[in-house]
Amino acid sequence: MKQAVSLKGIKEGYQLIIPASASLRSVLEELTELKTQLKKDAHANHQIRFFVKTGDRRLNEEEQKQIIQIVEDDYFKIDSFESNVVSIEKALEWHNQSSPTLEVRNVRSGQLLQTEGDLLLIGDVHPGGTVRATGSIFIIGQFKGIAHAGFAGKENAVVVANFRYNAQVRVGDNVHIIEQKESDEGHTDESEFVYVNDLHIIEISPLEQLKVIRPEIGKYAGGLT
Amino acid sequence: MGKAIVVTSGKGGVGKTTSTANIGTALALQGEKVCLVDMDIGLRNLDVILGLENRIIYDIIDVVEGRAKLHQAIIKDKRFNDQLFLLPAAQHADKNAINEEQMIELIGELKKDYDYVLIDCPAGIEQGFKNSIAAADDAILVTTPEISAIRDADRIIGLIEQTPIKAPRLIINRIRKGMMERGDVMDIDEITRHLSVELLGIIFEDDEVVRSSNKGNPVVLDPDHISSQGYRNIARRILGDTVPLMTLKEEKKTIWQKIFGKK
Repeated sequence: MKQAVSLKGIKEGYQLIIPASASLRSVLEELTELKTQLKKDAHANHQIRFFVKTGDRRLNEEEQKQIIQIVEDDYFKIDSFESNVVSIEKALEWHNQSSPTLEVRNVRSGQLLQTEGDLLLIGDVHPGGTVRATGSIFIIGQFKGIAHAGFAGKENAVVVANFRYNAQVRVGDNVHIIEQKESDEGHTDESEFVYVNDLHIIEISPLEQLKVIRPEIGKYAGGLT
Repeated sequence: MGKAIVVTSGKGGVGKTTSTANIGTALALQGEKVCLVDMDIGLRNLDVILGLENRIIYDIIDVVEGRAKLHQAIIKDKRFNDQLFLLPAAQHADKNAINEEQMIELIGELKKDYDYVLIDCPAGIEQGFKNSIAAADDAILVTTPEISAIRDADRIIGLIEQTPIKAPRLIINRIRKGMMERGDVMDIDEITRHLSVELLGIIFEDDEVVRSSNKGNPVVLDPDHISSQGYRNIARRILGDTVPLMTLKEEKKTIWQKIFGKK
């Protein structure tokens, strides 16, 4: 019978390559065999590290434990399990973290718009309406309600909007009240952004400063990190 | 198959009941067969405005609980030739005496016989409101130019958006021309833009509304009043006509008009 599991030496130790097409049971059998073989051949008195590569198969925790049980002992150690695939759940989590949610609507009094990751809202936030995101919030429209960025605790989130009406901004645990600007004096029609500075105090800055203060925004890598 | 329209506002006292009575009457005047349903159980007063208080024998709760047949509870308005009817609310029950399913069944029954079923919604967003919107195909939102009424209207639109009802249409009630012109209150454009809903009509503040309601005659019966004209326009828009909005500008009399006493 052709061997499914193959062993490849690398600098750090050994790669244990388990093809996705092989059935788990035969893999486990082969591993047991391999283990005894290796045990015989091994003269080393230092620890040998294994990196398990499972190709297009994802092993669940139970399966990983089985393999660990077979392979690991005083000298053999499994360093990591790696596969080319991720679960849809995990993928969605990454996706939601790294790509902003686009919403085109008005958030009315009493409504709550909540998203994972960043939120780009095209529409108004009416008085009494709330937008909430685990990441940053960008509002294109009149902002008169409550915006809560980084509500799960991400303090480096920001809120970008035109702060000319009565409103409230929260970033993480910090709250900032925005008073309506009287008449035209001193108000700009331009957007600004709210962030938490190094002293944990909420501050409003002109939009030009965003790149300086939060250079990471707009450069999300996403994925396996 | 008729159409059920709920008249709602969120805030109390903005003119839901008055608007229901007048729009219903105006639709009846246009030749439609209309049934008004008072959902303000425990605090009924649509019957009073229509002048039908003394004719109530059975009410909506009697129908729901099987003590009366639907046609027994419905009151006919004698001023119209089989055009306008009222299903009165109960006075000795509360808003929880009826639920959404019963409402849907009841209104479904009524829609078979009437062109328009207007539901007068109670103030608030509790069970009475939920019952009222449960069976409606369409919604009319009444507000006044006051900020508190507008805020509540905004909340109501948000709640209605979560139902299958398409976006409600707006009536701005009790507009005081002078105040609006001076900018003391939000103007019609501002309110409509803020709430971002379609404007169905505007009603100017008019003492005659209260005066005629007190007599049990909806103001819309007398075409000479400015509020009556507003309600008639709204009824025509509901029927699909295109009617221009009444102007806000206070007409200034020229010296010749003053001399000759023309309007």
